[in-house]
Amino acid sequence: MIQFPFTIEREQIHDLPVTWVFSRQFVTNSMMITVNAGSLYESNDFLPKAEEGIFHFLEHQVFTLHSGKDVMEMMNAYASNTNALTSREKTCFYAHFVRPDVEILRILLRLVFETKDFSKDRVEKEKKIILNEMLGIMDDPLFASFELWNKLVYQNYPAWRLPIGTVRSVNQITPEKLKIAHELFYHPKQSDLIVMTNHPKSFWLPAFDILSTIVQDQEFQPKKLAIPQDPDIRSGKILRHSTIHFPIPYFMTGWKPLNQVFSYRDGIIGEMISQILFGITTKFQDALYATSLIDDSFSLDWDWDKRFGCWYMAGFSYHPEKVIDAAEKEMKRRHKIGIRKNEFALHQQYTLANNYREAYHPKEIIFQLQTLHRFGIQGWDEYYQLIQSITWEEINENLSRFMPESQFIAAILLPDSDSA
Amino acid sequence: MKLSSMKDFHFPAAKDYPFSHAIFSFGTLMDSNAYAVYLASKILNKSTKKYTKPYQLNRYFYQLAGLELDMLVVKWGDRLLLNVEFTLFNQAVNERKRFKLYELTKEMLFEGQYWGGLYPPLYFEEEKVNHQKEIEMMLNNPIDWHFQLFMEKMFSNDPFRFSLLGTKEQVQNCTNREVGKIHKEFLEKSQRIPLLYGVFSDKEIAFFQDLADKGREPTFLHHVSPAPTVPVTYEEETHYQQTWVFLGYRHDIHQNHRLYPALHVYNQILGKLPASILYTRLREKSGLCYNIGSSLPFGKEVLFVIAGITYQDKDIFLREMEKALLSFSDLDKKQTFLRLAKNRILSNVQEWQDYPLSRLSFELEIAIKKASYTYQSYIQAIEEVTWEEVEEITQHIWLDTIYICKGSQKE
Repeated sequence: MIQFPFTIEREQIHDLPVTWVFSRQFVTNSMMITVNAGSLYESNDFLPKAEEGIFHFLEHQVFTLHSGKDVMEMMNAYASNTNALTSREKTCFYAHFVRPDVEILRILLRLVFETKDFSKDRVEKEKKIILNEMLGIMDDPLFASFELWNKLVYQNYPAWRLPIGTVRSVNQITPEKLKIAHELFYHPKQSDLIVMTNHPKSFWLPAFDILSTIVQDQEFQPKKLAIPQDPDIRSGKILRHSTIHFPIPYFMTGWKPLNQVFSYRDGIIGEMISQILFGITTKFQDALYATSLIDDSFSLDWDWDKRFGCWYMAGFSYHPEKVIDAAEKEMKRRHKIGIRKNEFALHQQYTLANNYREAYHPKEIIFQLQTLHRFGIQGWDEYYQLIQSITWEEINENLSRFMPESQFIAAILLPDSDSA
Repeated sequence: MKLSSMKDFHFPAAKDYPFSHAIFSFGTLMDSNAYAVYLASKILNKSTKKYTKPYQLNRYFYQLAGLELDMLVVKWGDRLLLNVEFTLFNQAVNERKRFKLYELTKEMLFEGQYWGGLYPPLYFEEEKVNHQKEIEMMLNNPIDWHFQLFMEKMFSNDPFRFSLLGTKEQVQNCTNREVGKIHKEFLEKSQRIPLLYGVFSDKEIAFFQDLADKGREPTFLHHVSPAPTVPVTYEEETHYQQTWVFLGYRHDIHQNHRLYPALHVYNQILGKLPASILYTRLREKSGLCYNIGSSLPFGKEVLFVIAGITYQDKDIFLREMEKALLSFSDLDKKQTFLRLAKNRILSNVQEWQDYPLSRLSFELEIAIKKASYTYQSYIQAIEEVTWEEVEEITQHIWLDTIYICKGSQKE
């Protein structure tokens, strides 16, 4: 019987869903508040006069409290490594530390939920910082390729919208718009908290008292992301050509699974299928390396959530069209022969071993647990058992769903005139 | 070089920690042949006598659920290291299975289908192409590429300047036989350091000791830092949007200097703390950059500051940098900064209990540098650093090289 080094409890405190992860094993404590607010909410359905990049901008701005104090400086006093990130569906604020202090949680709660005033000066200064951040991203030749890929894959679903926004949209952000975004989203009912700790709950509970003073809106209505299901209207291979600011061509090729609604079990199945068919244990990859069609830039990714998902391989190659042909051929071959039992068994065993290893990374667990919780998975043992319960038959039954010939997509990006 | 005892290289695991870890490190000074060691390590990872194809070897590793092997060639300061890392799940893996992995690793390193002075031609050619593409990618990554150019300017006579990847010409022109010869020589003349964390049997410990005893005494080059002069400025136009600034500072505080712990505290306050001087003054207050930080590269008496700015702010940025370094004496709440910096370093060290490979990396540093401190004495030394010592650092540090990559900043 596998034992994991922590136990989990869940409850609601002042409308905030809280997951407690108790472990005596770890020296590192971690906590994270996740607000369900990201680039996918940046539309008029959720936010009046929404600007792209506003939640990312807000993530930067909330680090100054109403009192004018800087949260980083405050957290610093507790030697806490504090950071934040904004994605398509959420904004996360997290802290890692080895000296627990109830004040850390109190500061984190204030950071997210306290009323904010956004001064014009600070907003203008932040624009400069974010525009600088953008310059660095725009120098990444793959930045535009992922945007192209997502637009190619999704028709009704704006998964291509990146959290940082555009230069134009960031310049349009005002203190008033930030305030509206904060009031409409940064509320306990729109969020959740994970605390991974080697201290008892009673140590942390006093921090929650602050919520009764800083949370004003008791009538707050949570916003649920309602994504129209992307219809499977295409039939047949799609191949798009574009350019990349790099001297070597880049390819992306993959599949959009049918029925774009995924449980966590589906997510694991999708990951397994992609690795079994095209991962490092396959003759497929060996053959592409042997003919120098791919190199160490090759990646295999499964990008998904509850209402969208696609998986693809990508990399730099002097013969991208040959890689795409090889992927297509392998798809057809596998539809005839399926996945062998020993291939599946090997990957399941490896996935289970990885799962156990992951349970010993205290900084990373909170991210995985947050995701599991969103999908209704209660604990790590349930996660482990989920992997164990997947069968070879199930993997083969899902092959046509996860790798449908009608949804085979490819993009070739050739060097632009400056790079060639 | 015979190890006197493995006791100095074997560390107990935290209670109930179910894994054991080992790092076996081969190391020499960097030189212009480093690229060949890097290339050879890629070839070695592909196959063995029994598993002649990569997918077969990878399937074998997958089967060893509970055992993990990583073989990496890295550059630490002016050292070239080939580090072999093992992660072993104690419950699932018995000694017999562990030795299968150790023997396989030994075969990969020393024989690796290396017959008649040659690697398998197919894999050699494959990895040559891969390597050249990796160089191409570095050339097209503004930070990596210009950092390498900056290094070549600042360290023109120092092995520190050598790139791990080498040049495209070197890789294009190298032969299978040459690469094999260079790699063999590297293994033969390298210093070998074994580091173990967790549960290992006497037989395993003897295995690692025996392998280490065949290593050589390390060769060190002591480069005396040049005396302070007016900093040299280089500026290059690039086709990237962002402008990058690389600042190379020299100092004379080696690892056994009394101010060495204070140097680490200084670096935290300058550029590593969340509310560091650089972050607060140059990013938050002046809005001059998004990315900025300072670093102390391994084993070298230098400090780097790297920042992404807009070109029009270049002069202001450099002035603000100068002010930032001089601001230590005027800093508000000095004792607060001191405490914060120490707490940060000590917290990071405490975290190693959850991430033992980080602990082993620190022990590897100590072993390579033959530092006079230990893990425990380092912690104590950090705790004892005074503000006066931190301020004293400012007298030991001077700007040597400014390297600016001018971006085009199109909107």
